[in-house]
Amino acid sequence: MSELTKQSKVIWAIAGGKGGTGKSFLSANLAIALSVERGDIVAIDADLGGPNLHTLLGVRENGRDLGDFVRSQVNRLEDIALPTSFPGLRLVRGSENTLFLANLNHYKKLKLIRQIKSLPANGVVIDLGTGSAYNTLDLFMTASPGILVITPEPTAVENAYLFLKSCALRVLRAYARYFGIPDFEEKVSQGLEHSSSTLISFMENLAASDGSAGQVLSAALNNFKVYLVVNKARDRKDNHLGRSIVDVVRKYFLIDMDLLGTIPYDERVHWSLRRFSPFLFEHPESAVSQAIRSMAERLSLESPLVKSEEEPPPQA
Amino acid sequence: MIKKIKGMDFYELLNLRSDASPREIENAYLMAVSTYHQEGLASYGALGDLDRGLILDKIEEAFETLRDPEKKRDYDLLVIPGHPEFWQRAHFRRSTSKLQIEDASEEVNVWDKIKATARRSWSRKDGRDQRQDGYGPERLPADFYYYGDYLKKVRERRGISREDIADRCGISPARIELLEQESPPSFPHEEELLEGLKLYAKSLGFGSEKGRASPFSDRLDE
Repeated sequence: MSELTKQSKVIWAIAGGKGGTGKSFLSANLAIALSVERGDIVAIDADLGGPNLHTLLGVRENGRDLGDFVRSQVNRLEDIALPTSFPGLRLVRGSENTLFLANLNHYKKLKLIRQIKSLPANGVVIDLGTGSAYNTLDLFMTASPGILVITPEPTAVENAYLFLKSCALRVLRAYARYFGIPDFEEKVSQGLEHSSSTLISFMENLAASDGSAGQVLSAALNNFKVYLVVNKARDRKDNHLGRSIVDVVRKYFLIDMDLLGTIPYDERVHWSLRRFSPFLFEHPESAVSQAIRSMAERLSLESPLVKSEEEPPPQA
Repeated sequence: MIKKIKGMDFYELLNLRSDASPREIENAYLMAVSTYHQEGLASYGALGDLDRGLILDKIEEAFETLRDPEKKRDYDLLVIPGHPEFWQRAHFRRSTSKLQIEDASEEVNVWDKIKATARRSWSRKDGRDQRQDGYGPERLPADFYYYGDYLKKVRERRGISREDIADRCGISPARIELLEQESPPSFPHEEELLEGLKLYAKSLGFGSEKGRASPFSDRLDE
């Protein structure tokens, strides 16, 4: 970290609309792969409803966790980022006091986001909880980019779209408030929340009634960058699913989505979990590990570490 | 800036570069159909039947235009000047016309170099077409899933009878009908259904090396 600027730090948040898509699995293994790629990565278990990133990373000892930070028993997030058995990877454990954390209030959420942004590290991987709660959405949007994980099942795809729609609405509301767009809430309520119309048709109606508002809000959505990962792909249809979903999202949600990769289904994932051993570590040559490593490589290449300006040599 | 569907031309609709080959156009079309097909998973929960129908009609219109060399030529005159790669090439032509490449042994090598350079700059500047994840249709694998009812639609649009297709495939018309319905009880093994659909698609000129010379021809070369 010493010779690298903090500006090199990237925050990746991993979410999925539905449980069981493999968010924590990807978070754990991607964090390991990224720690190999660029070193000094912090993985944060922000699954406020059911944390288990520590289990996937093979960390069995108890220690201070996110709950201690949120309850202000620890002032700095950095102080609870504890080393793991992987060099270059620290972990902020999730709290088992789920009820308290799932209902994180606004002030505490802002404090958490602020500290995540200022955490001294080369990268932060945030493992988010299931669903579209505001806390989850806000942490997802803190990242640049957020990574959405789905499995090739109708329920997962449906919930992923719901998640994206919720994110889009959060983005639109924030921009509408900032730019003082009149009657926006009413328009959202009538045109989107209580109707089956798509986001694009809502945006088109908005642009027809208020051209400049439509333009500003379309640009806001365009700037919202999301990656997609298809996990547990079993056949040729599944291998094409990611590209197709990206196309739907770009055309109908106006969100700048890109496919990060597809991870094949592998029965051995289950067994490595039973052994408390990260899959990437146990089966480094498997197709699953290769897919995750290539994702890490791509993410790292997109945000290269920048060397800080060297101090001038001392004058003789 | 992501374009809205209404403002997209056929190339943008199918995620194609304007210099796409017939093979790439065909791949992009099949990809688009599988994305928006009512049985497809990709648009489940995002679009209703009406929206799916509307975009499938547009996709059909795009394919009907781009697969026909004459229609494509007319269409290209209207839309290609608006594409970034057109200006990239135009700029390149201007700049290379000033170059004196006397050291080059063969002219063809020079052009190869020029094309390679242009391609590199596209992949840098035009992320939509040359993505690292292979989103562009040029990198699609050949093992597409062909929907039965869509093959039927193509067959009917081309005025080919079920019997004709059956002849071409060497199976019975009744079997062709079952393929069009993708009726699982008739195909106890999934591979059998997949192979049947592939054969049917091949008979329509999709995805075969032989058909590639005239991939949109109504009759088989073989």
